Amino acid sequence: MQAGLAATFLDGEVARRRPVEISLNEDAITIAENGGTVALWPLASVRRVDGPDDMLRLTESETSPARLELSLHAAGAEAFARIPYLADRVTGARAALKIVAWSAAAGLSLILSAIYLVPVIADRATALVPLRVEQRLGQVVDAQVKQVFGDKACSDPAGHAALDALSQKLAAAGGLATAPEVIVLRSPVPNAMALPGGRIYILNGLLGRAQGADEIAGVIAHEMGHVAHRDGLRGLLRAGGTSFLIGLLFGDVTGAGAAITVAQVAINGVSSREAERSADRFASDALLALGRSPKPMGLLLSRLDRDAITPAFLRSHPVSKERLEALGDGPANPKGPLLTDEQWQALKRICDAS
Amino acid sequence: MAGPPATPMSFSGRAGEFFGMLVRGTLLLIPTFGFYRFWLVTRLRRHLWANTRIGDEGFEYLGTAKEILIGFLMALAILTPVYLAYFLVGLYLEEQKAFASLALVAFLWALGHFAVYRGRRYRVKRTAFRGVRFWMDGSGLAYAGRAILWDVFTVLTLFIAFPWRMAALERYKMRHSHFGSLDGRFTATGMDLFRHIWPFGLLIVGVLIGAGLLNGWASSAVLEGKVDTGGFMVVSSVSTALVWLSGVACMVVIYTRMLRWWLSGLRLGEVSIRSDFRVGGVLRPSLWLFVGVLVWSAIVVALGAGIVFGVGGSIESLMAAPTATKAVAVFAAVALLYLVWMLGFGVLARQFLARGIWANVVRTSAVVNIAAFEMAVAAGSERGNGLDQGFADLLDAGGI
Repeated sequence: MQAGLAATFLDGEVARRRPVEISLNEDAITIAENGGTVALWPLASVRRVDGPDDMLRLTESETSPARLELSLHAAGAEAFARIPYLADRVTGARAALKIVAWSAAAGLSLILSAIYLVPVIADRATALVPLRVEQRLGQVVDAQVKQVFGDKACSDPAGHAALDALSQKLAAAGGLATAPEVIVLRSPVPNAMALPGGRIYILNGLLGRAQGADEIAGVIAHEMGHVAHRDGLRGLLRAGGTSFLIGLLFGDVTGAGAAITVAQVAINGVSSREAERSADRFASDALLALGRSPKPMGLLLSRLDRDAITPAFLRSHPVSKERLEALGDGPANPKGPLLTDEQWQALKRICDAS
Repeated sequence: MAGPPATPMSFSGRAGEFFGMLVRGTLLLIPTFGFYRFWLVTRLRRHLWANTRIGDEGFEYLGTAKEILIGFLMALAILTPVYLAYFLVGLYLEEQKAFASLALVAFLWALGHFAVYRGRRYRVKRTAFRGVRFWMDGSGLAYAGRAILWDVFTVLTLFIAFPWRMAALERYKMRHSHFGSLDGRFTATGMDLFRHIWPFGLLIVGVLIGAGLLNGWASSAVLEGKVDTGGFMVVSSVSTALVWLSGVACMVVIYTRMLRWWLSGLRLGEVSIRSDFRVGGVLRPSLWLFVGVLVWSAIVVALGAGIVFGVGGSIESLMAAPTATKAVAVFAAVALLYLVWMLGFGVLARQFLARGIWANVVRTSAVVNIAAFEMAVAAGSERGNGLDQGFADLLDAGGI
């Protein structure tokens, strides 16, 4: 039985300090005020909580508001200082390790979901989205495309007629009920894209690099493949799902924006390669059905690939060497050219009008 | 000027101890993908609360990390469909572009106010003194509504209404704050605050106008050939620097006076606070932060240069023959360094601004009539879970 130690008792019901004397038994703390015992705290439930730097603070139990405060410098305080902290007030090495392990598991689960689950869900969801909604999405993407590449559509009548003729043939060969709208934008960038909802943009830079109608036909057919498979919509759903999951993971940790962008680009780069291969197959099939070879398209892509600088695994369009091989050989029974020389020249000059 | 008895407040937390907790917690943010932030914030608050003392008595923070983690998950579950709906509505309204963005901004603005109120409610509900708990009622939605109306009015009056806005919102918050059975209120008025800060608001406006006029005169002088472009650059940079400096200086003074005004208006029962907070209390920590950020940035840049050139050779070799692996390595290194820099900046901001200003405010305050606290009997519902904090965390509504 220890001699009484001066302390402050706070019963948790009234905000008044009560000077008391406390003593430590084997199984309880005795709290005495003016000689009489006012409380007995069983040691089994007594815990230490946070106190100011030089003060020891004890609680009766995990749920009790009552507190005992004594100076850490007082003689006899060491015995009380040995009382363990409240369980959730401890963040020692073991607790930290547990948090790291669980966070790693959560992080891994979110990342794996982003890589494997999101594409599957995006696929299913794509089938469920009505065409009207997809077209609306297309309008949104359209505005952004116009912001980046300019909104000057090339409209030379002869060129436009040639383009229409080509598109109709390709759409019919590909089995599409209506030919998607194909528009040439005045931009030196050699690129082409299919928007959700069916609009296809060919940038003039690509027309400039093409050396024959078959090359451009391949590209247009490829983009029609994307339209047929609703790849634009699927890509948006995938990107949305992925960035949502990864954003979930990092919450408000600042500076994660950079990491998120890299992850997104890498992940989306991988998954849309399948979409590209399917579009290539669509183009091959359509060209063969028209009695033309898919190889010229591959030649055009090789020419473009020579000038690219982003590393292969980050690019959404697969490496051209493998692609060339996948495109396959020419038709068994080749047919006449898709465009006359006149039509081809008109197409090349579609952006020359004022 | 002897008033009623005042018990001075003090802050006993050691800066080194806080810094150690901060660094350890921030490092743990990395392997935990940021999840550790709940434990870090809780640990820091426990330290700050317990070492904030009235006389030699300290407060106590009763919140737990688990609580706010669950609150975060709950808030996520509630806000995810809301964000999704908001995205779809935005799509639908894309045609009426202007209105779409307006609705978006208004919604986020309201949500921000809501989160601020709920965040404060959580921190109040998890604070105890002498074993008795503080608590808050009132509605986050009601607060958000009031705050938005006041914001609009403030903008319409070109910020002249700002002091009255602060007073009205604080009155709402304090009306719904309690310590046990003691009720809170806010007695400082918008007029009080206006009287203290109007000269500095005017100064900012004056400097802005002056700089604008100066730039205008300088550009017309250049067009007329009276002054060459070199002279114009000098005038432009000097005026910009002046605007920035005076703007920052005025903001610091306004912030200091607003804090003092706010403290002087708080009431819990018959207990009040007397504040002696001065500009130095904000200026000193800000200068420390400025120096700290410079040093830290220098370290990160040096580290970055070392890594980049170690991997890629000199700049010339990098430019001459960029290989795919080199490009990826450099890109990844830059992203990583950015992350490291942000984490370090977070540590510095919390150490100097959050802790520094907190400690300075506490040390210059005194509680008047603390005997009135003894009238407080434990009261208030135990409702209010980590969801309150979860909202604030999800929406980044700040606070310590």
